[in-house]
Amino acid sequence: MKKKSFFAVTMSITLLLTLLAGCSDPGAGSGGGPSGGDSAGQTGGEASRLKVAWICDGVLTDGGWNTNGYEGMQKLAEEYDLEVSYQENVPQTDVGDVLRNYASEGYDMVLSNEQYHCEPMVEVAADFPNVTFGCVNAYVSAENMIAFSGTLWQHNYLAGVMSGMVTKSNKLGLITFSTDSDSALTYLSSFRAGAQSVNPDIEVVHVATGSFSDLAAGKEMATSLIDQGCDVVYCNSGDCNATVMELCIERGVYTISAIVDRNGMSDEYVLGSTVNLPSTQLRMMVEGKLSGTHTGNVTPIVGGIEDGIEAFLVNESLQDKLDASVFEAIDEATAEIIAGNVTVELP
Amino acid sequence: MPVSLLDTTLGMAVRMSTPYLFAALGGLLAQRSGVYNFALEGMMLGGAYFGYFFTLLTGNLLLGILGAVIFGLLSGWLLAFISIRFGVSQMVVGLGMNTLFMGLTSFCSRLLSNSRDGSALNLDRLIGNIISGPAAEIPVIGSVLCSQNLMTYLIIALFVFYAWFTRRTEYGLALRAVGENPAASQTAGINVFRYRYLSVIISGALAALGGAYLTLTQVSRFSENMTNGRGWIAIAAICLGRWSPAGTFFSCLLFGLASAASNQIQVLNIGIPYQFALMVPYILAILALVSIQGKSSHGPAALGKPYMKNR
Repeated sequence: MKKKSFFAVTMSITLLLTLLAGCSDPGAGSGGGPSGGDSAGQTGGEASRLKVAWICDGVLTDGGWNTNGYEGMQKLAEEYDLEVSYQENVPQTDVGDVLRNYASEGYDMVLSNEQYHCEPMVEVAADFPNVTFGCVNAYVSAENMIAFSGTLWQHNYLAGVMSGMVTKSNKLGLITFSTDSDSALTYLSSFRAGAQSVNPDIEVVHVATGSFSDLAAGKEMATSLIDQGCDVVYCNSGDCNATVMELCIERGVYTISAIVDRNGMSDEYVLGSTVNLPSTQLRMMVEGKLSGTHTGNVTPIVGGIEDGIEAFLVNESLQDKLDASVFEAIDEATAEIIAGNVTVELP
Repeated sequence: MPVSLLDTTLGMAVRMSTPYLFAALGGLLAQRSGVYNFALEGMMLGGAYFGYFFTLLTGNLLLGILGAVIFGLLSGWLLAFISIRFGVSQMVVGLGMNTLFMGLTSFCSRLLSNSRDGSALNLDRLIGNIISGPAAEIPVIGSVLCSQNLMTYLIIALFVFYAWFTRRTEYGLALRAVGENPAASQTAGINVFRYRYLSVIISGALAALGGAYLTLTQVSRFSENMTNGRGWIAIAAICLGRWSPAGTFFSCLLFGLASAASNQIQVLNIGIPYQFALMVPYILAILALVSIQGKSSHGPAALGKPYMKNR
């Protein structure tokens, strides 16, 4: 009997700890929901104050995606005197309930920083026609929901242009999670098109890690690429990105950061960062709602570098280290994209 | 400057087999004493996290290694306690502990990333290669033998020690006897429980070192589930090596070579789909296990059977 109960206790602890991983301690600035929410403004403002809820999957302190959205919301709250409730670490399973809670607690706008929240949001939005919802990088939308998404190619094209200008071996390396998904192929074709637009001889070697978290494998992948002569390596495979960039800096080859601005990692080898900023989309949502000009779109609106939804941030510290023609080529390509003269064959 | 394909592949094969070697030696030791350690994967993950965590905390790589070893010893003790003291199914305990450590490390890693900003999560330096300069430039020998770090040399030495210990010493013989026939060993005056406990505890420390190799010599940060099945490959390597130290050693190298090949197949772009390239080590593991079926040399006779003194 004793044996059995010991075993049961051990297993219960195991399960408990596994569950805990899914709901780790919320950090500063998060609220436990609308009731216990952390409102960023004084209480008891005038009736016209817009009440906005903002949620994200993951932590506010990730130094990238969520931090950008959070800081963007804080700026908006100050600028337009909004009452904002923040909630982080909202897992996929709870999204519906969390959104519903906010909507029924009298929030005028309910926003999410996470693209995979868009499907449950569409469902909830149908029940609350008077509330405006909004989701960053959404792929579905509703009448009372504002949804934007990036082109997924324009910033990569610019990264390709810059890589094409600086490469000496004419061999570029691209690492993604898989090599046949639509998003991976979009990355490949836009990066390659950009590079070949300035140098038709360029070859892009495209490899897959098959894992977002096997850092050692990602690093070895990049080692192979560099050993085979690639002198620019661009990695977009989750946690592997920073590790691959570190290796490139150590080996003295150029690299590009995906998703997050990591230009500060090196003032010599990081060419730039391809970013897609949630703060821009959030601003467009809030301003649309405030002015009453935009309270929903049934199909997501696609925007690119012109709208600031996407950007290729060139590493400023390279300005005096690289030839001026590199930056001229980027400016030229940017102008061409905005003028609508660039087309990339997408999957 | 492009490096020759052979050098890249072989150097990479050794780097990728080192974690397998640590975990496989740990698993082999435990299995020799008659206990399956199915928690290798979780123990590696724990070693990777705690090695990283203690290095981050103290700034000292040796203390990081020590942290990983202490975690390994404790987790080995937990496995031994449940599976030897209580005779619970070794499979179930092992699987349970894998889940436990996966959850524990993810939880701790999230706590850590909540409390610091992204740039403060990197280790300042890693355990580097010992031999540099002209020796590392020699073709093949340079990349295979010289471009490695202390932990790789350590595990090679440990394998040699293990082979000597189990074949040439009285204690080693007793260890093998415990795994073959615990009741007879007990009659001969060998303390079965002591041998099994110690083997499983040390097994945990070795697996944890295999994990720490990833964070302390290769990548300088931790990512959830970053061991990505290496502990399971190590178990396959033990079977393929027919429970002999030399066999296990070369099986691990083979799996390391397969992992390196799976990279190179993609980089050389020879038309094989990337899914297949990524599967290479795992396919090899399955083929290995199938190929040894029915062969005469099996593992220790009492492997996996709990031993109860007064039965």
